[in-house]
Amino acid sequence: MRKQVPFLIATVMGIAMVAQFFIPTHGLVQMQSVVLLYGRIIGAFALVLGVASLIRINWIRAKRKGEGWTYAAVTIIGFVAMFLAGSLGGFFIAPEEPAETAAVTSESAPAEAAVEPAATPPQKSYDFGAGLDMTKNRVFAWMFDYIYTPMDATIFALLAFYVASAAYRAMRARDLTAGLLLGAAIIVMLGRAPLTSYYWDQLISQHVKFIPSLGDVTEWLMEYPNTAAKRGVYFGVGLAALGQSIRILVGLERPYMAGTGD
Amino acid sequence: MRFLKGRGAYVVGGVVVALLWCATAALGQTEPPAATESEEAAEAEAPYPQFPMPEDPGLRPPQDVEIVDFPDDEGNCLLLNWEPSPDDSAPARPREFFDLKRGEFRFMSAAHKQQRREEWDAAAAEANKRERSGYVIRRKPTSQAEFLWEPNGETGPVFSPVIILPGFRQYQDNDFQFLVPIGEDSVLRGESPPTPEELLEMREEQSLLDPRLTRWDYEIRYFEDGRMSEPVVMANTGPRGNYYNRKWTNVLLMGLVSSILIISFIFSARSGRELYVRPVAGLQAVDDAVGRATEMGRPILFSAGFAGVDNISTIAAMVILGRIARIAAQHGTKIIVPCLDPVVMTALREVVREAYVSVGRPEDYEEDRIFYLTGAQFAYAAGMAGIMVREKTAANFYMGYYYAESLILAETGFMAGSIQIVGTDSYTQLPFFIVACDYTLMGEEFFGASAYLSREPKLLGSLKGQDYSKLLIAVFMTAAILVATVAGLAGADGIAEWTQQLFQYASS
Repeated sequence: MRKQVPFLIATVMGIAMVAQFFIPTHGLVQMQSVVLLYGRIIGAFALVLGVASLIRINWIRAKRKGEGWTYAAVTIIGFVAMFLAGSLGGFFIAPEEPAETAAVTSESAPAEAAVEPAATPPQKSYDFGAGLDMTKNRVFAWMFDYIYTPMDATIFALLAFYVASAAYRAMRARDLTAGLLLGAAIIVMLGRAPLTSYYWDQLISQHVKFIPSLGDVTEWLMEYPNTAAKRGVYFGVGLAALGQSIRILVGLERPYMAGTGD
Repeated sequence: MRFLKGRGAYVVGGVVVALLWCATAALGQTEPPAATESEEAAEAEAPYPQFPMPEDPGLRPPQDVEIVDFPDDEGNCLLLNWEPSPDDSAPARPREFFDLKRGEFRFMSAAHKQQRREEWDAAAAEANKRERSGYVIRRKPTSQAEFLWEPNGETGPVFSPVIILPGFRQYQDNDFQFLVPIGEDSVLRGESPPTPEELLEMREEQSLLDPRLTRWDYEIRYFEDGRMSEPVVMANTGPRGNYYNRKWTNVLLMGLVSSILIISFIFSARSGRELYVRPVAGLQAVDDAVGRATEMGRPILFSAGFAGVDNISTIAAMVILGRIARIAAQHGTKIIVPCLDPVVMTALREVVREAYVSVGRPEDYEEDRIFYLTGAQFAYAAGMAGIMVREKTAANFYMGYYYAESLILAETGFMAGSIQIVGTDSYTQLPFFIVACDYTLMGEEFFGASAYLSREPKLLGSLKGQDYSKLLIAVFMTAAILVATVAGLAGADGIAEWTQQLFQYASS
C-alpha cells in the first residue's frame, strides 16, 4: 500500500491535469485552480521548514566559530532585522488622510462644505490586503530599497565581468567551429553596439553596395541560424519532457517517492 | 605629448570614445512626428457619442444579428455577429475571431494584426468624419427589467455600453468577469481588474454573477450623427463551457503518436530486446566527477535549479540527484544541496535520504547538508559562490532550470577549480553553461539522464521512443514544408495556408 497509493494519486492527478489542458470545462478549470491553491498552501508550510533550516544551520555555524562563521552571523542578523521591520514596522505607517477630511479642515472651506462629504455614502473598497502593503511600511521599504536592492544589483553587475572572462575563453579560434563562433560573436557584438553599427553604416555600407548593414547581418544571424538552433532544442525538450512524464505516469520513475520505481 | 603615454593615453582614448558616442547619440536622435494641427483640431472637434441619443425610425438597425457561444473555452465568452446596417456606408470588415461560414478560427499572424490595426485606424477616421457613427451594444441579465444607460444601484447591475466602429460585424464579449458586481452602484471596470483570487473570493461571497449560471439579454443599435436606430434585442442567451478545445487538436495528435511510440518501445525493451542508445559524454563523466571528489576528500555541490517542484526540470533534477547521491553514498563522499525553494528542499531531503538507505548507509545521511539557502535569485547565486570557495567543492552539478545567475555559478566554479556538469532545458542559459562548464546536458539529454545512468532497459526504451518521435516530426515537417512551398508556387493558397495551420500553436 505504501507504494501503490502514492503511485495511484500521481497517475490519476497527472492524467487529470493533462485532460484539463484539452477539456476546458468549468469543473476541470476549477479543479486545476484548487490544486494550485493546495500547492501554495503546502508551500506556505514548507517555508516554515525552510526558515527553520536556515536559522538552525547558520546558528550552529556561528556558535562553533569555524571558518566563515561571520557570514552565518550576518545572515541571522539580517534575517532578524528584516523580520522585525516587516512585522513591527507597521507601527510606523502614517495614517492616510482622506481627501474629504482634508477639504473640511481647510480654513478656506465654507462652513456648509463640512456637512456635504459626510452625506456621501461610503464606497466599497476592493483593495484587498492593503493593510499588509509593505511599500507603506517605511522601515521595511527603506531596508529593502537601500540595503537589499543595491546588494542584489551588485551581484547582478558582476555578470558583466563573468561574461567577459567566459567570452575570452570561448572565443579562442582553436578549430573551425570555434572560429565560426568567434566570427558570429564579433558581428553580433558590433551590430548590437550603437556606436559601431552607426559608423559601419555611415562609413561603409552606404558607400559600398555589396556590403550589408551591420544591423541587418546581426538580425539575420539572430533570426535564422540562432532561431533554428533554439527550435531544435525546443523539439528535444518537448519530447523529452513527454517521455519523462510518461515514465512518471506509468510508474517507471517515482521522484515523489524519492526513488526511481525499482 | 608625454601625457599621451601610459595612463594618459587611456584617458584621452576614453574621452574621444565618449565624445564620439555623444555625437552619435545626438546625430541618431529623432523626434517623434508631431501631430499636425488639423489632426489635433479634428480630434478636439469630433464629439464623443453621448448616449442615450434620440431614436430615429429612419435609421435602420444592423441585420441578421446572432449570438453564439465562443467555442473552445471555459464558458466566459459570447460572440455577436451581424451584417451592417444598410445606412452604414463604411466598407465591411472581415470577422477576425471566428468565421461562422467556414466554421474555423482565423489565427492572427503579425501581418494580420498590423492589417487589423490599419483597418481600425481607417474606421476610426471614417467615424470621426461622420461625427462618430457605429454600433452600440448593451447587455443586462434577463432577470433585470430593462436596459439601463446610467448606473442605478436600486434597479440592478449596469454594464457600460460598448461602441463598435462602423463597418465591423463582430463583437467578442469576454468582459463578464470584469464588470459583474450585484447591487453595487457602478461597474468594476477600472484601472486594475480584480485578480483571479479576488474574483474567486467575490464569487464565494456571491457578489458576482457567474456568466455560466446567468442568462443575458443583448441589444444592438446603429448610431450616426447624434441619432440612433431602434434596437435589435437578443434575449435569454448565455455562454457555456466546452468539452473539447479544438485549437489544440494538432498538439493532441502529435502527443498521442509520440506517447504510443514511447510506450511501445518501453514494452519492447521489457520483452528483452537489446536497444542501442548513443553514449553521452556528460553522463559518463558523472562517475568520474564523484570519484574525483572522493579522491580529493572534498564535497560535491548539487543545485536543483530555480524552478518550483511542479516544474518538469526540477523533477528531472530530483531523479538525477537520487543517482548521484547513491554513488556519493557508496563512496562516502559528502554532498551539499543548497535549495532555493523550501518545498524542493523537503523533496530533495527525501531523495537523498532514500539514496543513503538504498545503499545500506543510513547512518551517513546528514539532513543539514540539504538546506534552504534563500528564495532570492542573486542572493542564491552569491550564497552558492561562497560555498564553492569556502568548501572547495570538487564537483558541481547544476541540474534544472536557470536564469541570469547561471554564469555567476559556472564561472565561480571554474575559478574554484571544480569539475562542473550541467543539465538544463533553459536554452537562453545553455551558451553560458557550455562555455564555462566541463560537460553540458542539453535539453533532452538532461531529461534522459536518469535513464542513461540507470541503464535499465525499460527507461532506455522510452529514450528510443523519443528518438523515433523526433524522426517522425522531422519527416513530417520536411513534407509539410515541401507541400506548402509547392502549393504556394502553384497558386494554391488554400493548401499552403492549411499546411501552415497544422503547425499553428494557439497559446490560449
